[in-house]
Amino acid sequence: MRFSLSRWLRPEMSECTVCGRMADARSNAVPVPVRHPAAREILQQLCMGCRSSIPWIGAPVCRYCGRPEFCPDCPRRQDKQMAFCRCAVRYDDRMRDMLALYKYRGSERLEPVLAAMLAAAFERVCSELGGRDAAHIFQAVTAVPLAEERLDDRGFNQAERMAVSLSQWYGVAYLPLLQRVRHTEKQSLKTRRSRIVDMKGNFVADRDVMGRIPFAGVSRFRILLIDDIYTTGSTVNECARALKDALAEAGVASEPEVYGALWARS
Amino acid sequence: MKVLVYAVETKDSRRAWWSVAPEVDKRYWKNVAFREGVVAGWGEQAAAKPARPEGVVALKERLPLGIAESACSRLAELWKSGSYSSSMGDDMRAAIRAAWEEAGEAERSGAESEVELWDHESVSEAGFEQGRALAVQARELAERLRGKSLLQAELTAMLGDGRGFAGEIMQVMQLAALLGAVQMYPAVTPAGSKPVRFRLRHGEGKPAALRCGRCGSGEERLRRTHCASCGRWCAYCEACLTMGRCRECALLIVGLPAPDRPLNREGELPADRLADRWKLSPAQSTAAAAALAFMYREPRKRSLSPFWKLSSSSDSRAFLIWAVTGAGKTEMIFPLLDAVLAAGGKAAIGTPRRDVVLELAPRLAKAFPQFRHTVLYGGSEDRFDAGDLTVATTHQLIRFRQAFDLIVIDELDAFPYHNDPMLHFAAANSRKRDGTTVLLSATPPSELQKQARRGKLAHARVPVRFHRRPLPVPKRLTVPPIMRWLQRRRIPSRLFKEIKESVRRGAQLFLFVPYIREIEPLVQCLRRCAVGFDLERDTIEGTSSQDPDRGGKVTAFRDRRIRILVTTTILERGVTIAKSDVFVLDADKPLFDASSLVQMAGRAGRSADDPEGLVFFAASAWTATQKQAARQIKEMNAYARRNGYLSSE
Repeated sequence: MRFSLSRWLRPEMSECTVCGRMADARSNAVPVPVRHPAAREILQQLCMGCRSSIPWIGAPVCRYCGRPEFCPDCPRRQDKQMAFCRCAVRYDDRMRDMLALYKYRGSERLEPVLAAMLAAAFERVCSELGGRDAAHIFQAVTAVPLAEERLDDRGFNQAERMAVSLSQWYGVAYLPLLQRVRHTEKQSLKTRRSRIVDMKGNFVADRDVMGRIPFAGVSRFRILLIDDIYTTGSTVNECARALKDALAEAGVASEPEVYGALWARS
Repeated sequence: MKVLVYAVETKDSRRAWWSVAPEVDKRYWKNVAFREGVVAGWGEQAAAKPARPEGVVALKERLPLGIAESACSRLAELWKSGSYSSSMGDDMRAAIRAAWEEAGEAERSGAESEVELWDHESVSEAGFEQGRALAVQARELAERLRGKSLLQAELTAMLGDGRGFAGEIMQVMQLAALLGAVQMYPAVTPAGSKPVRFRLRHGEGKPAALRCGRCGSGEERLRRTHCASCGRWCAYCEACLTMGRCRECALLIVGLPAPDRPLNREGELPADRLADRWKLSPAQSTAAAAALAFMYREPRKRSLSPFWKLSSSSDSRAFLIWAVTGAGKTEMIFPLLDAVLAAGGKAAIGTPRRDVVLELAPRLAKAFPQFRHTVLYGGSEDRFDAGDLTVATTHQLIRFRQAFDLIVIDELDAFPYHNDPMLHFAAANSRKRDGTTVLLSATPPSELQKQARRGKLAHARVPVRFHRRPLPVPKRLTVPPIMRWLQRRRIPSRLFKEIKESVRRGAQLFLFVPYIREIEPLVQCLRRCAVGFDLERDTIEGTSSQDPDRGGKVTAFRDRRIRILVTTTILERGVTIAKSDVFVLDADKPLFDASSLVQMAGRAGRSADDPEGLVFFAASAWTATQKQAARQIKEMNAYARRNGYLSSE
């Protein structure tokens, strides 16, 4: 960081994590729909331009996938393994660029920002389940896993990283419950139909990790699943299936529920 | 990534290696037939056969690349000093432990230190054939990597678009590395080339200070994150992130320098011959001849310099052409490019601005049709292969290492090159050690001006435009700050009068303002007065870096469909409008530095038909910066007059 006189004279100015411009961190002119203080603080570090360009999903229209407009996909979906999910933002061009910068270019400095945005979706799921205390609603947070090779290439699993942040903020245990079975081609290159078929049997739950879930004296068993983008919902659905199957098989819970919190809805 | 560390013992030496494809190393050291195949496939260059190893000791587990590199350099130092312990394995274990400690992860040491001895493999016909085939490919790879410095993903992309390699690329590369024809480094490495024991610590109790091996950025631009690829806290470089991510456990693959091509003596022409051949003005040809003579000068021997000289940052192979705006800089470098290209060498023109790349490329293609051209910028079609003549943004030079005999940096004082150490590092590294750097600027940074004046930097001045008329000297226009009169929607009468006069004489007007947000209101304000200027409303326009139609508006301005263009420093250089006058509003704002002012003033009077364009610095105060800019312009005019470059006035 270079020396700048303005920084010295006006210490409340700080560098925006997203665009790198100097911004006044105290300004509250753009509201942030997140309650958790740590997440709020991260988002308030952004400059006005970046903060106001976040396309928050204010009111989900689809009660299943959290899409902010009429959703033709969810009513025709027959095999709903997940209870429901909520997404924090619309996947517009700016969000696409931001995710690409983080995920593909590897600009990990954006990680807290994305996690803080995801917190909005997380809090919405909690409030729709009738409470603010996430630790009492969910027994565990987990993330959609990445294929081994992809993980090796990228060096991190974006969903896992965001899930870990949430787990720290809200006091819910993060557990790497899922594993990916086989390597599939890149999702973005496929049609909807082939994606749904292809995802079947792609994930399995890790039994050893499952043993670490704190279930004693729990009436309703709920797991929260984290991912970056909801496109067709096939990934989260298959993950939910793997989790429920394994939990039922292990006799842990008769009717486990899996909810989703995703960063963006495309 | 993780790599395998092993050590080879011969009769009189020990050497440690790390490998990305240990199966190749194992055969190379332990399979005689394979080794003979390699020699056969590699050809005459493999003459220096390494001594036969007595023993090879390898770790059983792979190590994170950063740790492996650090351990290997420790072992190299240890064994060079001649201190051999009885067991190579013990030395290796100690070095790995030290490497983990230096990385601040002492608790990890010892976890992966079981070693094994590599056995001799049986000699077979298949082994020979494998070795030969791999060596042929390794040689081809080494040729293609000459002068380049690539990340692994870039190498894959480069090979993907052309002919692929039959074998596993990692195996080919490992063999090339064993033969010394390709070098592999961790993309982020310990800072400096100091021996391990003198390495700087990043801070008390923190890991050793690192730096990016590709762009040279230090700790302040590195960030450590947990890496799933190597399983440790691994640093990555944020400075050159847009060009692909460099991290501690990622490979940076560096080829040998491009082959040397000595210049032909007959290429060195005196000024008068250059003027004829390239149609240069006297001032242009004098400067070009000086640069050419500099290029032909023997590279200074890198002798041991006295200690006080080490601190001097000036580059002994750099030449500055300090040419006024509109001097015809591009034409001046044609003779230099020609000399290098004719000798079979490679030349590159780097410039911070993409607009300039796109403008230069067709001109060069026309001037040098017989050579292979490469145009590189973010998103360009060409990506890796350097032709004979490369035109690139300075960012793209980061992918080259000792590739060019001549590198010309155009507009070196423009953003983002100016003040960006990463781009300077890239430009310096892309040139061959004995190559030449030519710096082009109308407004060199003050550091370079100082070096030039003190004789530390070879340079030539071109104080006159190609039409041989003096530069327009800025006139002072005292008006209140923009914000004050823009609010009242009234143009100060002095400014109004001058604008009207310029329009009347038929000139195109550049109105420079410091901030983008001032453009739109000012355009509206001017349009309201359009009748007063005797202009149509829509001949007054504004544009900025955020305007998607900037190109279209500049074209319209050039075609005189737009008469008044309100803009920011984005158009301060590179734009030539035949008959134009320049108004810099709020010229006292610190956003405009002296070189900015000189560049903006340089938009006026560029054509031979209208050499006397008008330049106004409109501001409430006449600041030191404005004075400095005006002085620079006057000095250049005086210099031109003294040297008789001006045509009769």
